[in-house]
Amino acid sequence: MSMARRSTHGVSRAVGRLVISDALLPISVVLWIIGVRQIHPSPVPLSILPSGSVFVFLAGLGVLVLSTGLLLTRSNISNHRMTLHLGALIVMLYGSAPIVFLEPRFAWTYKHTAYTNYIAVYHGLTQSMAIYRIWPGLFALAAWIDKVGGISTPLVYASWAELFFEILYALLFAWILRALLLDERERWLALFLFASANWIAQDYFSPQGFGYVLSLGVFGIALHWLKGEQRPWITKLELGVCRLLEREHTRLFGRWMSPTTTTSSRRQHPHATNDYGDRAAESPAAPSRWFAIVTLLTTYGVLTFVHELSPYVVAVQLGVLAVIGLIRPWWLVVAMLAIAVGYLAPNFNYVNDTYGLTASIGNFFGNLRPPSSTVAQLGSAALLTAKASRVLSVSMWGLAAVGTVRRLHQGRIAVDLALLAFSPLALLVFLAYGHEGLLRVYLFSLPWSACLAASALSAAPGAFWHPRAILPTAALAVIVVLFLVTFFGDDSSNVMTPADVQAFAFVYSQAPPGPLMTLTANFPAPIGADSLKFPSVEPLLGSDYPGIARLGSADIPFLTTEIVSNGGGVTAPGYFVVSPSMVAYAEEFGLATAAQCRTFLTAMDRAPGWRILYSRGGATIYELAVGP
Amino acid sequence: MEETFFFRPATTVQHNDNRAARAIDMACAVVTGALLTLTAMGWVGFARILLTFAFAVYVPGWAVVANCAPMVRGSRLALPVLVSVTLVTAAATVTIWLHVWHPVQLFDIEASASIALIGIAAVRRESRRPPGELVLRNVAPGDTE
Repeated sequence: MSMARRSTHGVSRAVGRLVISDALLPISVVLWIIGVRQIHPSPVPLSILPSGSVFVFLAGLGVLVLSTGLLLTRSNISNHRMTLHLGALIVMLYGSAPIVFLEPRFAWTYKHTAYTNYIAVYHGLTQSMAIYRIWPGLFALAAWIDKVGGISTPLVYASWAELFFEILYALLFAWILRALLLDERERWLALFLFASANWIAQDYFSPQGFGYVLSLGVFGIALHWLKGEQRPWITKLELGVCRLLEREHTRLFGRWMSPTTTTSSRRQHPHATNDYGDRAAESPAAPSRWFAIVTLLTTYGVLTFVHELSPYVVAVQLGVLAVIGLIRPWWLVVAMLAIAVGYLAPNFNYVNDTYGLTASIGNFFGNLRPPSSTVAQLGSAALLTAKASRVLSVSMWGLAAVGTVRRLHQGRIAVDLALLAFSPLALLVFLAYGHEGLLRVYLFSLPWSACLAASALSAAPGAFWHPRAILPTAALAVIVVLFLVTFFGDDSSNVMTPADVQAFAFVYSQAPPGPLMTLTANFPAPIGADSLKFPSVEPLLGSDYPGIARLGSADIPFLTTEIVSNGGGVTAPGYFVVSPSMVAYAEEFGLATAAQCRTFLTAMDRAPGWRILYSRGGATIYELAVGP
Repeated sequence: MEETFFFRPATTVQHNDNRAARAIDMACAVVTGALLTLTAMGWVGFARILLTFAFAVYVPGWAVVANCAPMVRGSRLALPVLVSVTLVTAAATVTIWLHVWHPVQLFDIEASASIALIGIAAVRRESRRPPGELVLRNVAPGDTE
């Protein structure tokens, strides 16, 4: 009797501890599973006019965001619940594509698998890898994993790289957050914003995706164990700005500006050159300084041969912190730059000749142009994606600016996060990075922008429907929607279908090597180790395309001449490949209409010297045979 | 304040740290041993892929961190992951540059070194006296501290 009463009492206590999010999380996961299972693996899974299944998918995400918002308004933040919600968000955002699509999504993934396969088969690097042979870190790691794991090609796991890398990013960023002066609510909000605002899509199976893991690691070591004391003049400057803001803005934004945080502030320690707050409470023990320096330089050294750009951005960001005294010893940044420059120096001429590094130095505004600015005519989906990405980036930077002001007004340290968030812009003084410089700036700014945005949005615990309390949830919801549009919006042309992949797998495995031309630059090749034996010719609708009326039978002589000038039809066969994703890409980016593509292909069917080698699922391979 | 994967308050006691470290040591040993066995047998499958990723992402890093930075609280997950991918990538790339690409043999060396380092760290940890613990030892007349 007494046992039964005790058991009933235990159950009622456990039920009493439950919160509404404990029901909402499973509901959101179930909705997401139902939605993902119903989405057909067509190239447009999240079209702007959602079908029923996409609606269920979006409802799952909506419930998750609502549940997260409710947890953030509670007086005691439950870390277990927040961890589960963050995990669910990452899986929903980055795990949906590999479930829906049968092949790795992006065309760029495939050449990285080819370089990995080459190392696995030929045990070395080759000139055919072009610039990638200088930065082979990821391919060496993947080839090692393939051999030890008994895997024939990275295509087995490449689809899951986005989810894998995003989990590592979240893990490392959570570690970094413990070294920053934020309270628990801000930390969790920063993690959610970081996970849902990374629209760049660098996280596929790529050197930059892996390089970002190492970059976050370098920041983590520096911020945890190599932090110095802020120079007094910076502290005075912060205090001055703090007083100015207090005088000018308290009347206008008084309630919003009021402190909601538990971290210490300049008001409490006006003469301190450093601020410990929560950070000190969480990191009482430190490794030897030399262990930290050696680990940082080793990680940075590996980053130097993994990705060409990341080491310089990291050095700039840590460099500005060293200037104001927040990173010690100062020579650490000099050593980092010496490693990066020392590695590039022997290859500088090749890289400069191929990519024109010096041509973009000093052209800040030219380098500021996004990739979409180089395209003459964007389709509706590409246009919407470009606009959504701009709104999302500007929103995050805007929130970061507001967060900086709010922190300063509250008397909190802001200069370190502000410098980390905005210093990557210096990169654009030096290079355009193929008009992707702005994307890299956003990527390296994102963790710190997310922290400042969290400071801007964070509210004291209270009722969910209070206008101030609902703000973080509303902002997170808007960011997730913008992310979905940006991340999946170009999928009508981005996604590689099985027909695309099978066509290239056929030509590389069944046909003798020869120059290979494609309709557009959007194709899943090269794939295997031996595919590097097929010289790649600039796509027909690439930058050298001379046609006046886009794509017609008159272009066939140009195509043939290009193939022949590369030896096709003379010493080896030549190939021209068209696949569904290429036609979609041509249409989306204004290179040719679907009707023009059909007319051209009809003419190709009858073109003298050419024959159809393969035709399946909308993909066609034409062969120019050796002979007169 | 609760303790979780991501956030650990300073009040976590040494006793829990040691217990967690022992559990991680065991998990690393199991992952490494199982992967060594599967590669030696030439067995191919999903389990081997998972074990390979688990090893590459954690085991060598834990072996280093457990020895060099044993007191670093809160870095039991992130720091070993970082050190692990750094070391495995560095080793794989250097063997390619030196034209001595033997990935399975390289794994054997990494696995053996990791197990050895984890063993050393475990012995050092267990031999360390918890603060305040009463230690009984034989004392002969005339012995001094």
